[in-house]
Amino acid sequence: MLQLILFSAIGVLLFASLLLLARRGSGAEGVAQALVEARQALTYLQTGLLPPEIVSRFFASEDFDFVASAATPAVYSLFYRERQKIVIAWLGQVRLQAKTLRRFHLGAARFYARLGLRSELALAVDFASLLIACRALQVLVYLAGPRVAPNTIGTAAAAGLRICGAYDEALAFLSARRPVIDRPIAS
Amino acid sequence: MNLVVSALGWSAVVLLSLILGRAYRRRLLRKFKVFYSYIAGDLAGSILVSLVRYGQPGYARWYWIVQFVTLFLGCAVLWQMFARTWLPVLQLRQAARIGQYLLLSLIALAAVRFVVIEAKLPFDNNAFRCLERDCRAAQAVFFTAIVFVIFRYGIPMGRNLKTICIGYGFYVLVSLVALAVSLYATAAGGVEVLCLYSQAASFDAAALIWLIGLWDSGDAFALSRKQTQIRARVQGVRLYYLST
Repeated sequence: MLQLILFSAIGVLLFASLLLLARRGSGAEGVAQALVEARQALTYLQTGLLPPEIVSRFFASEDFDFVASAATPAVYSLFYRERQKIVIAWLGQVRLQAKTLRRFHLGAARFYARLGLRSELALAVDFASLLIACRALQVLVYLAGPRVAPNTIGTAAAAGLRICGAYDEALAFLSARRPVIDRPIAS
Repeated sequence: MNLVVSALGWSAVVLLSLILGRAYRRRLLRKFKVFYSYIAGDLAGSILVSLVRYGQPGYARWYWIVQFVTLFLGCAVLWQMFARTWLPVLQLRQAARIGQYLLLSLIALAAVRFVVIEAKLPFDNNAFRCLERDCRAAQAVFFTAIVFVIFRYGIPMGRNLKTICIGYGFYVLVSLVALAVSLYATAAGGVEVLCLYSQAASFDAAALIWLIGLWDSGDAFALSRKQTQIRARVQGVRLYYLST
């Protein structure tokens, strides 16, 4: 019976592979578009989603304390729910942009001979921890509110910034300015 | 039962002949040498097995010899999948070589075990079925690993290569399941016969997939290994000049 289960499991894996292969398109991936999307995702993460001041502001207790002291319970409850939605949406955006970067990495990795096994593994761990942390935090914030687990949020944001750092150099050429020639070229 | 087995056998012969004929006309024989060698081997084997009638003395022996020769040729199809999909990717070259050597080891081990079972008396049908089941399971694992890497690295696949992979993968899948079930339910004779029909029919289905998929080969996306390597180098040079 155990043998039948084992071979059936292998059969199921093979069936899933065949299904994925059959649904896949035959054309080559568009690298240029992937580069632009990755650059946009990187910029958005670095400037719009992961700066420490934004992260700390979401979960700062000052806002909650102020609203609790200055407004009615109904207003506080509304504020609490709105902040909860904002945090969940923020986590969703971080996850989405990280997946865009990961898709770029997996699609374009074959062109980068400089990537070693160690850096690949480190990146894979960072991606996995960021995506899992974002999903877990979304569930946690949904159930327990936006003031939960600030350390985990800090860890997730740090992983995100490490990933951004890894791609900053690789994608820098897409936002490089033209060099300014301040001397006339000698004829 | 003789009629069903004969019909399936001769259908395979017709389909395989059409595949080879079409490949000759479309000049695909050189492009996929390994695959068409497998088809040619299967065709010869199918003709041989169909000529020896089911139930006649010696049928089982001939069936298993043909089955394992074509199984080893099928491993060559997996070898070509490694070569076409993993080898062009710089980081995967070593892994591709390791995969190919593992495949060779599998073939060698299976061949030795086949000879040992063949030499034993009395003739043991179940031992051959066990060996084939194990070989199909190993092929399934290789196939799944190849497909996983193709998806992980976004490796492009031409339509012809995709058709070959899907057809062969389907045959391996049905063979594996049919053999596993028939060995588990050896007491139920009906199940065994059903599994035998399923395996034979799945080969005909795979041949039909190949015939339809390769009939009108769209060569625009059929990247050879050399083309993939050139494309990768051009991309690398373009990125280098953009970054400096």
